[in-house]
Amino acid sequence: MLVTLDEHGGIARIEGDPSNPATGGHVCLKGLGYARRVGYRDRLLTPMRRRRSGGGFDPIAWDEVLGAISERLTRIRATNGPSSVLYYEGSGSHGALGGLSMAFWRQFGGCTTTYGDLCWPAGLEATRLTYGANIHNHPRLTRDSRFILIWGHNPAETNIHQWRLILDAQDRGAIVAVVDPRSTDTTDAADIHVQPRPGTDAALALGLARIIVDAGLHDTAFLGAHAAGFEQYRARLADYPVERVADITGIDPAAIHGLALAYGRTRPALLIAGFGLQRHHRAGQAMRAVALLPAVTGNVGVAGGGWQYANLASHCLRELPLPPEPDGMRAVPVSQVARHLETLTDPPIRAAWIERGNPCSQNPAAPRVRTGLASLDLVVVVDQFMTPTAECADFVLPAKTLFEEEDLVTAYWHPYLQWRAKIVEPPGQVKPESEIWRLLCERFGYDATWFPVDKIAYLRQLLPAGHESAFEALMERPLDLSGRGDVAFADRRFPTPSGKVQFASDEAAERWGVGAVPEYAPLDEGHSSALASRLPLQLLSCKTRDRIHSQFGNLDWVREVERPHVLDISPQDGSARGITDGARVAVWNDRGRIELEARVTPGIRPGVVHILEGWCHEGDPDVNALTAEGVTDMNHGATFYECLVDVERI
Amino acid sequence: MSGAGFLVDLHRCVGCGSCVLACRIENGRADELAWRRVLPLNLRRHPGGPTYFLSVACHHCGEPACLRGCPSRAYEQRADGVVVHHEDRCLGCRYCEMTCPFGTPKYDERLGVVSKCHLCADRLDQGLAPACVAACPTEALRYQGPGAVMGADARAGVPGFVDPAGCRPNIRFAPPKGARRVVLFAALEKMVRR
Amino acid sequence: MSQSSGNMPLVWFTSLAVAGGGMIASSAWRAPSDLSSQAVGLAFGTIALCTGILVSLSHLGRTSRAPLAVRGVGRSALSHEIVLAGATVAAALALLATYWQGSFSAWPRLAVAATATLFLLSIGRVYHLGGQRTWRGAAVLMPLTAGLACGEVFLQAIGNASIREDSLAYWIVPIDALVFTVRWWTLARNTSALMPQRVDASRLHNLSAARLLIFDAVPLVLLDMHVAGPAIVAVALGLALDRWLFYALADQHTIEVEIARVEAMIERGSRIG
Repeated sequence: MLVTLDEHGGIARIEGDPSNPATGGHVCLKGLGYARRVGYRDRLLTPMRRRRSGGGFDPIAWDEVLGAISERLTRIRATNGPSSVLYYEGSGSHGALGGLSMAFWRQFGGCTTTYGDLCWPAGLEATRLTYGANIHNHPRLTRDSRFILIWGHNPAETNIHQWRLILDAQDRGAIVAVVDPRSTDTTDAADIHVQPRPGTDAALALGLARIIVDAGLHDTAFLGAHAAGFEQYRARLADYPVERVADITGIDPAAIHGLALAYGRTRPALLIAGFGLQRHHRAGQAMRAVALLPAVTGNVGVAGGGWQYANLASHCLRELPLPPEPDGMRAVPVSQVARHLETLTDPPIRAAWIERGNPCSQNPAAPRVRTGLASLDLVVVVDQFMTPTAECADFVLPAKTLFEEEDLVTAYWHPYLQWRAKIVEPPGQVKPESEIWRLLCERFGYDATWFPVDKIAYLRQLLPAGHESAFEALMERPLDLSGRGDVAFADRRFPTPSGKVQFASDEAAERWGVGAVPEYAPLDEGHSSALASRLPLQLLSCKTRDRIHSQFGNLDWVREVERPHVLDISPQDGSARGITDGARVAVWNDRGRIELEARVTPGIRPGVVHILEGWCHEGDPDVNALTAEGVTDMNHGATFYECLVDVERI
Repeated sequence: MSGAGFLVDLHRCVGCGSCVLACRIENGRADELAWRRVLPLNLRRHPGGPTYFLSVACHHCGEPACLRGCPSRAYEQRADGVVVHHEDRCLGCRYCEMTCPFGTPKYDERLGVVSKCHLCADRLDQGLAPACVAACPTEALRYQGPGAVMGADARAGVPGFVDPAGCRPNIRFAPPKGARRVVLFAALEKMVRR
Repeated sequence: MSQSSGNMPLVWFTSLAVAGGGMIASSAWRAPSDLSSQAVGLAFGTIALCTGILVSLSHLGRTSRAPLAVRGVGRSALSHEIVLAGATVAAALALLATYWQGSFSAWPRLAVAATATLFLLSIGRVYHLGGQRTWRGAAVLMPLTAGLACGEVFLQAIGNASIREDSLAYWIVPIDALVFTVRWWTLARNTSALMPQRVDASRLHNLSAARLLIFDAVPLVLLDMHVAGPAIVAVALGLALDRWLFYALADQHTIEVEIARVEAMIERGSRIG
């Protein structure tokens, strides 16, 4: 972004940065929303302390609050040990300097952190097992595709820069096909749309592959040279005739045929998968099944083709220099914070420090995260606003925004490393997290030299070996330091055990206990499970472009343009329950119950309902009262979309 | 279309509202009513019709109703067609709110005058695109200069947008695309014309 | 000027302006058969119109800029209405000033009557807008007929026998009722199933019938019975109801309204097909 300040230091203009080849000078609603966010009336400008009674918070000076926090932390550590403190960091604000928190915790003696990720880890591992690396073609090559298959992904909402490129490709004659149980802004514009039951994508992918192979549309030359385990995979396809796939997915066999032949016949074809595809127990195997389709058709290592899920090419920074890791470090899965707050022992959690995240709204079983925190001796939350998580705190520390501290930022769709300049001083008494940690270290008498005095010099040394001199250029424009070309795997060299695309992966079996060849397995809490006879509707809780999860949703400018707060339900499911458009309904399962307005929409497939995630202000319903603390079959992800519910009119 | 105005590509617009925010920022309208708004058509995705979004601000009409009706001649039309409102001549009678059939002029209670989109005339004079156009992430919203020649499929009206008062609005719409939506849109156009 | 029916300043302004203009016209056009009653009519009419003008000034966002309103003459219907309001007041006062001469001469009083009549017409013109379907057609004539009806009823109520003889009330009031009924019928026809309803049909009929009764029927009956005071009260109440109903039935076209219309068609279209 390019930001222009006015004479008072306020934001006069926000524009896209034309020197970013991926976004090409374009900006989005959230980028523009920063103009309102950084100076918003509700922004926290001082530390806050919870009142002893009656609710609410009072301002408190930094000196006092750090004194109170350090005194309590010391006491808790003395009684229970350092790992009785949970340090939870979310992904609400990215930057290399975020790692500096460990300079404190390691000297503190350790703490409990989280491992895994709420977003995308199963897909990352599935891609790594299959292709060896999470890289993909440069975004600009999207325009060269003749067929774009978008799977479990809604770029018109969640990657609008990519969507622009897809529209450009469509203007040039590309066919756009979408696999999504819902109708979205993406599916509106598509040429082909199939709506499988959630969690059945592995069956659909293997069914498509079967049709493609039976029709002789697979790329035998590519497979002969660059596939490992293709024969085992091909044998597996025998289990996925179109009738069975239609039965599992709920898609018409003719539509499955049509999609398979269209994808198989059109070159180059691009397959873009979203995170939605992997938010359930069978995520890794499902992702592997889908990820193999480009390899089946030879659409790998070509411009306009490929498998696109994550591009970690910009994740090339060196590790931060930190004190050595002490014995007192422990970690819990990030999708099971509530459970561990409730049941962890030896030692139990007695304190929590939460920054850059909002687990009391955004994590599975969020209301139980809230009650879990309520029982602790100390909760510190660092945030820009009083989120539901901050409301649980004993002390709230005011967090910076991205304009108030310099840093280096990586990406996950394009290969560019970016310099984030500091353009304004933090307002009021706001301090960047790095400063908070430095002050806390000083209070404890720890070595504070781990914290940079000159941040530019510090960040310069994080550039990868051989690229230190690129820093000045980096301050001018985003840089691709990966040394790779625009086309991923153009050289057809895959960093896998076999050096080829792994259609069968022993590593998958050994590491994660899943089948070496991907297969479809029904979800534990899916449409064919026993629970479905009692709770027959599958709940999806997808993202909207109005926010980044729960961020921006408190701003009046965004509330004015945002999508309505409704439950999407099909006419069939609605009429069976006497629910008309606009009626007030309750959505419930064994984990919780929420109430909101229903929107009867023919766009969603029967058996599926949907509520947007990320609402957390002024009495909004919290969809995470219903979600489960499951873990994906590989790489410790979350299972937000594996959630059965029922709905009733109230 | 004869004067300067906007082209809205109904296929590319996803109703994100970036244009609304960019206009707010550019014109310093943080707490006031926004000059631009984005209106969904069939957001419920009823299969009987397409779903698309109309991003509208001021249409800088060929026969502006606001200008014709203003008792104090606070409106003026430039040579390029941009209709500009002079706040220092405005009585706050709000007649233009009634005469405009599109809901364009916005009354500010605090200032006692109306205001509206002026097509970022200052930016145009510097050779820049209007702020909303520059901000559109899908390039759905475009600026068309006076006398611009548009594609054959550009329409002056689409279902949801008509000219009931003979104002000759300078806005054009590119119809939605995509194999499925094209059919729905054609059927809707036919139904509305009947 | 919002579309809600609760826009009371406009209701007051137009009621006072219409009544005032009508009283001035009625007092001025007739030969001076009952000079004192006509002078009362002119005076009350002028007061009513001036009060209406003051109310409308207070409704402006920038009251001090009101004099700029004359700049739109030649183009803006609102400018014309404002100028004619001022001209009617000035003309009425000028004519009143000649009261002490014992008579109203022909050309001056006809000029005053013409100015007031043009003023009443100009009120309807202000609301003749392409984007306001329910304010077009017969509605444009309503300030004229209602204003003259007010004037004639008022004069007949306070006037002497010769006023009662040449009163046009028995002509104007039925004409006004006819104009109103034409409008009522046009509105009822246009509330088709495809339009989002602004005022539901039964409310439209009830309020319209009430208006005809209170503004047209009752005053004529009371005049016939020589009950002057209540006749004037009836027209006053009836006029306020008429003007309130006028704004309540506003159906301004906006893009939102058009979209709602199309969405209703989409729903309907699928029920048929």
